[in-house]
Amino acid sequence: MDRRCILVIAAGVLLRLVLFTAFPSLPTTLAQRVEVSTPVTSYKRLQEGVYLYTHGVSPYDGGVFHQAPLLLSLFSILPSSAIVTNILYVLADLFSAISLVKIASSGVATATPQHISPRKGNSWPPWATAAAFLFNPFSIATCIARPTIVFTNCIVLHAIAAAVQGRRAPAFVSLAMASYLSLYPILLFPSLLLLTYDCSRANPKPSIQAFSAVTTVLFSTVLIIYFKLSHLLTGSWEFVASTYGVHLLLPDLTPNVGLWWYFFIEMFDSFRAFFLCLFQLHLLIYVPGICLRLRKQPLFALITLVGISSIFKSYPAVGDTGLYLSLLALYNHIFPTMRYTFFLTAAILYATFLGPAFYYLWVYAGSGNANFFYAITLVWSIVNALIVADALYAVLRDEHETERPELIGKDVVQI
Amino acid sequence: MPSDPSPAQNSFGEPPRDTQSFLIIRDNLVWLFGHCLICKQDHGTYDIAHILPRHDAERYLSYHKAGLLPGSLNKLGHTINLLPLCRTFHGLLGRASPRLIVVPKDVQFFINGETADYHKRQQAIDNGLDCPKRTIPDASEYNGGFRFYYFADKPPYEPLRSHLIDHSGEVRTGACPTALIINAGRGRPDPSAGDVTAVDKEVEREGTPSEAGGSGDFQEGAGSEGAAPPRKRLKRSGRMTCDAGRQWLPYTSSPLLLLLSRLLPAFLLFSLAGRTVADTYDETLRLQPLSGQFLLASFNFRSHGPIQAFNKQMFQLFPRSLGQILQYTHTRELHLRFALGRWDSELWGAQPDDGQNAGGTGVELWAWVEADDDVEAEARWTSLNNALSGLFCASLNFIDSTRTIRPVMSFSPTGDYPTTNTSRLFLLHGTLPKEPVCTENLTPFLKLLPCKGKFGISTLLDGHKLFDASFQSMSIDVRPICSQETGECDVEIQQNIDMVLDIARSLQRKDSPVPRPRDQHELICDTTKPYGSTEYCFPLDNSFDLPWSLSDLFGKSITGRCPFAVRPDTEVAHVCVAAPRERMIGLVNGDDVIQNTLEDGRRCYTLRDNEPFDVFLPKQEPPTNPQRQEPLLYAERSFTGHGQEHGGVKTVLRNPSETDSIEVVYLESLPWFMKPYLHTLKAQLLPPPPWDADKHAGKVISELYYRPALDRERGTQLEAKIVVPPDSIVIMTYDFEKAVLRYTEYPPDANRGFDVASAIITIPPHRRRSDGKFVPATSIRTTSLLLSLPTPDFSMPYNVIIFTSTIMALAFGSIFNLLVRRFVAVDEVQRMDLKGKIKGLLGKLSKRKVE
Repeated sequence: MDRRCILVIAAGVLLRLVLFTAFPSLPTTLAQRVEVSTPVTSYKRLQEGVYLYTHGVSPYDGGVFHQAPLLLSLFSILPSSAIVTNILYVLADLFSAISLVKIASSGVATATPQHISPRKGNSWPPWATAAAFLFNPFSIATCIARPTIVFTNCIVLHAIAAAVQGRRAPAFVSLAMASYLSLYPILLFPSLLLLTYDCSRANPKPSIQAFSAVTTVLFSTVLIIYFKLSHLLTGSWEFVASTYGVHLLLPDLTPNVGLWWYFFIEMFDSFRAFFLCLFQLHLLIYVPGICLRLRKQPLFALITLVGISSIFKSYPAVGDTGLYLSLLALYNHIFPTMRYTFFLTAAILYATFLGPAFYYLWVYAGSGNANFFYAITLVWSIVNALIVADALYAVLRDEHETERPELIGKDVVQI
Repeated sequence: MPSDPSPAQNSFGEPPRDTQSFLIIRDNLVWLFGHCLICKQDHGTYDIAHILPRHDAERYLSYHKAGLLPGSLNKLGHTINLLPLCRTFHGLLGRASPRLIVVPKDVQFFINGETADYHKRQQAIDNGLDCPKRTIPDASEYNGGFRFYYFADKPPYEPLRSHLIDHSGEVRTGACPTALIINAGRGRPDPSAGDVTAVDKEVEREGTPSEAGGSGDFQEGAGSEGAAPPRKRLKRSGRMTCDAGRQWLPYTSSPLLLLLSRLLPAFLLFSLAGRTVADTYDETLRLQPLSGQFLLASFNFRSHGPIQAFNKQMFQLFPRSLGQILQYTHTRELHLRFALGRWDSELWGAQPDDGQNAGGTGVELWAWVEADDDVEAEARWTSLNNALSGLFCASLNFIDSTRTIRPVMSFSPTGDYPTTNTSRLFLLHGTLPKEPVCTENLTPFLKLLPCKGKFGISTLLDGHKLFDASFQSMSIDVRPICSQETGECDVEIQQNIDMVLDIARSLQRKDSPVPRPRDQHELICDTTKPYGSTEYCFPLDNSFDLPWSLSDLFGKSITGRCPFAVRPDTEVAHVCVAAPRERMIGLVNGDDVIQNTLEDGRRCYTLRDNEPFDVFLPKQEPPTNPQRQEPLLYAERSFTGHGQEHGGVKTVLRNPSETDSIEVVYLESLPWFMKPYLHTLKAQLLPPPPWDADKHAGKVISELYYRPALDRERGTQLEAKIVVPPDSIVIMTYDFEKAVLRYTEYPPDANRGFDVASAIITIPPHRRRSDGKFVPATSIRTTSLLLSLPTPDFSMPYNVIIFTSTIMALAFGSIFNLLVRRFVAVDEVQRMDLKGKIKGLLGKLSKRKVE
């Protein structure tokens, strides 16, 4: 880690600390924004859960708190001062940035055993990737609003950092923790497995089958340990339904930037179960396709899956998009091959600024209705989906150009 | 029944030929032809009426088998089953309503006969003999005379009326008295088929009296086993007639009804436990002027009867419909409240009866249900709600698990349970704050009263007046009460209506139904104001007490007393006016009305049969100062914040006492879509205590019970024990979040908002520290709140499904398109679309040109 990295990270941490101290009401204001906090990550709900837990009421026997028991016990042993909590969140972002630097330094984004990008020389230095995360407004807002997604993101990044270094155990212990905290990171398991396999420095290399079998056992054992620990802490299995059931069944229809809430508000009761299954399967269906097609670049497969789940998961927030965009910065060398960069940038700014405005019109001013905000969530989702698709196009093009260098700079079509 | 003159099995309906003259002679009718037993007038022709109808031979046989008819009545056409009646009364004899019955005057004769017969048979069984046949007094053995009764919903038309009024009701006849009693009990106005057959089955079971003693059904309650045969039989006649008394309204003078209701229930109770106590019933109306020209009218109806009779479904004054519901659902104690409006405690002071009869806005219901476990209690609670919903025409069936709570500290049973294991009693509490209480709830409420709003003070209860009141609350409480000395238990039903009338408004309604401003000459101007002039008038309110009378305020006067609301030994005060002592009170008519002035200045009156009662209070100047009792606590609750996303609740509790601190239990039942954050709950004390405020904050709330809501399954329950120090205010606040619902979960008027039930503040009974005075349990309810939730666009389901699905298809399509297709250079492939073809053509052309 060079001096520049340290400088950038220090600046990012300082920025967060300044925001926390200079605007003491900012965390509360942001924590109430539906774009930043969702029912499964909200800091206010976490506080409620901790309050109930420390006063002897099971928070899982209620409709407010839907977060994992280990997180609950972590916060219940923390001193209840705002400064300590804020520092904890800043530290989480700090670790995320360090993990990103590690991933960027490893160079897996540009060169894997199967693939070396012809645009290798264009890639940004690690400090730039860290800066893309630390100074990303979505990440900053997420850190200040203190939803628990910050920890999930930090752990996911740590898992990737461990994976690119070929350290299997830390990678999958972390991924198990991330899945335990917010369910959807479990989708990253196959791509992380491939990434770890590719980067593993074991000699001789085991077969992919043996490697994945051992990893699966490791992953599930760790998950079971987490569950057992939670059971010990809360004394019942109630938390499973209250934590993961909410992700799966969507009982809380609080608005967010995703597609689910309005769809299931308006859904006919008889079709609700069918569409719930469909929406969950929809997320699952991308995993095999992307992992197979991007076998040469498992890190990008993983990033694409992060992007897809940030759009289509049940309670998405801008923090998920922030993670995806920061990870995408690792692939900055392929940006020139993207087709709609200007349009996408403009559209994401459009959605970012109009979203809060339309939400205000609906909920506070009463001069708009729910369709206003819904329309913006549609725009947000479509923009994110197009970013994912465009980046995928760029990477595939890049990959294609390694095979046929004569086509660099020429128009191509897909058949 | 071996040695019985067996009744004829067929064609026994026709009377013998010379019956007519026989009946005339038998019943001592003066004229030889065309004379009627009831109207005693010569009609030129008359009918022969069957007491037990001749077409119902089956039932006749079953009565006969049960030994309810004397042996001499061996066929339906027998003369002792016949009455000579004119055509009018013949038609009325078997009808439901209007209805004519003829019954023996001396019921005690039959009771004694039964008792003697029962003992005789019991002795025979004790001596090891066969059970002898029951003997029934014949017409020849009974010479106590008969009376006739006429029941109808409305006054009879003129000729009939004169007959009824001219005659004392005395009848002399030689017809079979037991047949007449059975006839009196038959053909009730709304015979539920099941009930009638059940009665018949009972009769059939009695056919073998020797077996009856062994049946467990008969053991309980009577205290003497084996008393079954007479009890059963008497119960039958007693119950039926009792019901008749409750379901028809007497037109003829009320002593008739009284007699019937007194004598025949006595029959019932005698057979039950050897007691001669019938159900007792009291009704009182309390009129109390309140500050600001308001009048509080409290109607109280209370009846109680032995619990054994209740358990055996032998209802006298207790409404059968309600009683059966309570028994079916094993409800031991029931409290039901309907309320509208706000009790202005700043102006009117403490609520009547310490607020025990008041409910939160809408409908409130709580009950103690006996059950083995929680699940069974829940099921019984649900069926109780559904049944009451039908009975009271209210949406009580919407009290589901999301609106039901189980209070821990706020309620305790008011009844006595000497035998019931209290761990089997489950308290359930439900509220419907949105329910608009209206006249469709009042009608069933009045139907539960013995006099059904036709007699007594309940005649004043008219939907138009009641629901025009500034505040009104109807309550029903059923509970078991046990005597300390004897240990005997009664079931008590108390119905209460409190209404606060705006006197000026009610009087104006009388003058003109359309509200309009007062004429200038009617205005009384405050001339003491320095800025007053002849041009402007500053109206002066309350410069004198408005004159009013009952008929002014209620649109009618009380039509006589309810015949059940009497005590044989004492005069009962039915109407009390709790006006200040110096206020004049007059009676509109009747100087013979008994009037009592009590020590506290209340003036009480006893109603008379069939005499309308009206009281008037003349205009009084200067105005009197109505008594106002300071409430123990003032409570207010409101929402804070704006927008449809978050909000807060603020409750202000003020203790007006300067010396005593007060401990209250604060209960809130919140709907599941209002999600409170308990960690934001704060109690602030004003004025702040001298020591550290933070330390004290914990002390204001001494105990807290919280049950968080579960989405679509149950609501939040919050109970807090709060101590309010003397002369100070406790402000309790917490934040909550508003959930967004599925579009089918919104009511039709979604943008009106959702009602949140009143908070219930209970002050447990305690002894005041400063003067040692005992303060009974008091409850106070805040107003309900209106919670507005964010609403979706209800017209959008298809659009949303289509738009969202399109986005998902687009994402899926573009990503999989990239995944499955491969890249080629543009010039390597012939584009097959139109553009490609044109390009190809152009390319060819340009090539040619070059050539």
